[in-house]
Amino acid sequence: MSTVEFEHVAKRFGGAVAVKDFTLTIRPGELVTLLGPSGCGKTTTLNLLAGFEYPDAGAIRVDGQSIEALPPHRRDTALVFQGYALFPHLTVAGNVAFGLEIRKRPREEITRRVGEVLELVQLAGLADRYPRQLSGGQQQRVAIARALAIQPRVLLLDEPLSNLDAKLREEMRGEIRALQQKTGITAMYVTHDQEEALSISDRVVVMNAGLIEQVGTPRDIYRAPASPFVANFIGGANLIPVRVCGFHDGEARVVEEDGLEFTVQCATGPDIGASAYLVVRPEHIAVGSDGGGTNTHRVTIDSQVFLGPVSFMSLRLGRQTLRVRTAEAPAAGLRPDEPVYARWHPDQALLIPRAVS
Amino acid sequence: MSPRAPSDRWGKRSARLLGAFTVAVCIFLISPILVVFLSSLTTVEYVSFPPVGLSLRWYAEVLSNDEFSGSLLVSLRIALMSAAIATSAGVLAAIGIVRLRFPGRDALNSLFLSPLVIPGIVLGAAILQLYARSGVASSSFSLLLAHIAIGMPYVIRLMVGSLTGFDQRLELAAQNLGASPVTAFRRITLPILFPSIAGAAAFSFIISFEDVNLSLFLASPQATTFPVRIFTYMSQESSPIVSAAGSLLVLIVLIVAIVVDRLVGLARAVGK
Amino acid sequence: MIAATAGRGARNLSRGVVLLPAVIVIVGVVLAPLFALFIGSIIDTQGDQGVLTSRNYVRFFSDPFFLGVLWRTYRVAAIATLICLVIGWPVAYQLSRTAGRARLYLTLVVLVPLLISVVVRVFGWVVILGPQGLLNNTLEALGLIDAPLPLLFSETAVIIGSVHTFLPLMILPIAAALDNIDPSLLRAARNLGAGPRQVFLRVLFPLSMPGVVAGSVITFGLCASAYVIPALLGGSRLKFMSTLIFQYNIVVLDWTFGGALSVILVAITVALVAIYSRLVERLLFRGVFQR
Repeated sequence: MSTVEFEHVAKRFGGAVAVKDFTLTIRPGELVTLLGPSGCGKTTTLNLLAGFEYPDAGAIRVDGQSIEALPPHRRDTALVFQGYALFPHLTVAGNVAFGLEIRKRPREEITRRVGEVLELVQLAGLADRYPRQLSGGQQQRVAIARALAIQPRVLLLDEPLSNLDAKLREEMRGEIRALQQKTGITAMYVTHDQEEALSISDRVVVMNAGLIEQVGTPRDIYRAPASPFVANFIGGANLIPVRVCGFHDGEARVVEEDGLEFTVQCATGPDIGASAYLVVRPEHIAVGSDGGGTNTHRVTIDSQVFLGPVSFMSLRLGRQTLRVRTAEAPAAGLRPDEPVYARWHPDQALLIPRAVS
Repeated sequence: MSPRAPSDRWGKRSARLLGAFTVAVCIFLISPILVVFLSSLTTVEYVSFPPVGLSLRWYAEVLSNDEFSGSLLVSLRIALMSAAIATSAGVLAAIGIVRLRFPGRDALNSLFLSPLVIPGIVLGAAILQLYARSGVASSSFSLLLAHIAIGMPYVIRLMVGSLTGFDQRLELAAQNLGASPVTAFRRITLPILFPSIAGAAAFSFIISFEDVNLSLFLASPQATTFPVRIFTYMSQESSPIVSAAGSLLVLIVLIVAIVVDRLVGLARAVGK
Repeated sequence: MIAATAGRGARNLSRGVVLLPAVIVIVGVVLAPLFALFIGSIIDTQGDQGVLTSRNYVRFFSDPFFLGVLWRTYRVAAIATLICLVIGWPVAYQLSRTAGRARLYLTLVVLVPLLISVVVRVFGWVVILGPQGLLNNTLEALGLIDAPLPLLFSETAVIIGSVHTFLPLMILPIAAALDNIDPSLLRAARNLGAGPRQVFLRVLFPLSMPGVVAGSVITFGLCASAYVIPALLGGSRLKFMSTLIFQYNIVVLDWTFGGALSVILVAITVALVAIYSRLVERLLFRGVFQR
């Protein structure tokens, strides 16, 4: 149960900045996920913690102790590699025991610990197999077992599920979370898959181009994205540039550049005249032939895609394009020559600030 | 390098040590060859390193010496002929190995490559006993046969590699346009594979030209190759003419090796 | 139906003719002579009768002189192979860690000596190790010795010459094996707490074993059967199996014994190599070679 602190950590490679001013505290027993597109700096940050890279500026502390100058083999930050990196010339037991043997633990303790950990990841009978004889999911578990065996202060996971098929991914991420909670170990997880991040993390750190865009619980990130990037990256969002023109009783009135008006819930009164983005999620937009009601506007349907359990539609609202996600094919209920309207509830949209140049 | 990296003194020192060691080994590998070359330039009558003065007189001596120049011609003749035959037989065999399917194909391939693992002296003794001594073949002929046998495996190994990597759809495209299989092979595959074939031929030339073990066993007054001549001189006297002859041997092989590298790539020819 | 398959069979047969020249060469120049060599060593021709005999082999194995030669041959080969391994592994490691132009030059330096005829390489050592050779002259000039050291015509000279000749054949396979190692494995080892020495002992060296085995098998086999190196650097008094084979085939003209010597050399070399491979692949490094 260790605390990890990053303080104004920065790293560049040649001319390119990989990580800019990264500050974060990971609490004991917490699973924090770094989430972002490739090139956002999440893997570099992980490598900085593991010791495969050294920061150009800033400090990294584990349990209050600075580690940024320690070489990787003295950091006690076990890493589950993306490709597992299992030693092909050692058995499963040999792989799991590796860290313990390096630390010169007594033989009985090693045997006992290996057995414990293999039991934990449900691979008890496979101790004498070689990695090549195992399935992807099993190899994954050996990699986790090997990292947990040495009881590191921090567990690092670098996109551990990217080599698995979709079904296995879902299964394994639940298991990883369960393991982490059961052992109470502080963990940093890196992924570009938002579903993974949202489903297993205590907190999510959304990163973009070396900077932290937002830190929060999965719920906070989703419900209240702080920036257009986060809004778009998590769950996908429709962003309509608007100006605030009124506020009354928890609801703001905003207007879009072609004059279309919307009502949106707003906790604190925004500045009148301020620029903002109106954020509404695709699944919150209802499409129908009923033109009455607030927040209802006439749209034209650009395209529709039927994907089985969900359907996506692309709508044109003035000069804006809206993406809609529904559980059934809505066009079934619409007649071709009838006008189509889109609406959403003011409580299901939000405003985020917009910088105007 | 970031200012926060731990002082990697040990890592850097050991890296420098390794580099120095490698350089020392490189010197070890090159020096005997350099010594031979430099000692061939001496002006005096005995082998001296460093050379006393610099002159090419010993190269002139080699070429004017009947025994040396004669054996050089023998070597060139045998190398050219054995390379030609080994390449022809080897290319055909490679085609068979790669294109035909039959039981025991892998075993046959191993059989073709077997001369690579048989010690030269054992093969030499065997050929000597069967062909040369029983008078069935004159020693020039058995020498030629022996050189074909040791050159062919290199040709086959190279050509099997090239043929396996060759996209057969090109041939099929030619056939689709009306060419018979043999014509397609002749007009499409062979021209594309020509560099590999030439490289294989050049490599088997080298193998034949510099062979000593086999040639020593099968040597006779009329069938003495250049390396064998150098060997006999070496064991009898220590004269710079030997250095010059040796350097000449290196020169010829290096020139052909460069040709091989241009055509096929040296590492590939050696089989690594 | 039958006609069609018969047609295909005939077509395959006519296509198989491409293999014929190579087969003739192999059978005629390699298999038949080797077979005749072996048969010749176990047959005694008395008049017109051929009688199976172990005379030649008994003669060899019952003479301590021959056994001494056998021992010397394989002892020298083993020592040379070991030295090649100790010197060659670090160079192979350096090679696998080098890139670009430097890698090209290093590869050339290792590769090109292989193409130089062994007579030339050995002659170089004769010049270096001789009584008026480079080494002795340098040592004398530095005042380290008073009289030239008898370096030539000794087992040491043969070992030096062998190491020089076969070192590239040890370096190249090991470098290839090292290139094949997934770099994330080394990171994983460090991440789990292994310092440089541990990484080498537990991950790097074991995973290079396929190259080590390939290199040492080639080196040992070639060294045991080399002729020029022991003949020129060992002198006429130091006998090796290869020099014996030459002597009995060319000088003494005792064909059957010469044949037996050849068979013994090949058989024992193959046996030793097989034992070594088994030992390493099945026992010591089982995990690395598991298929």
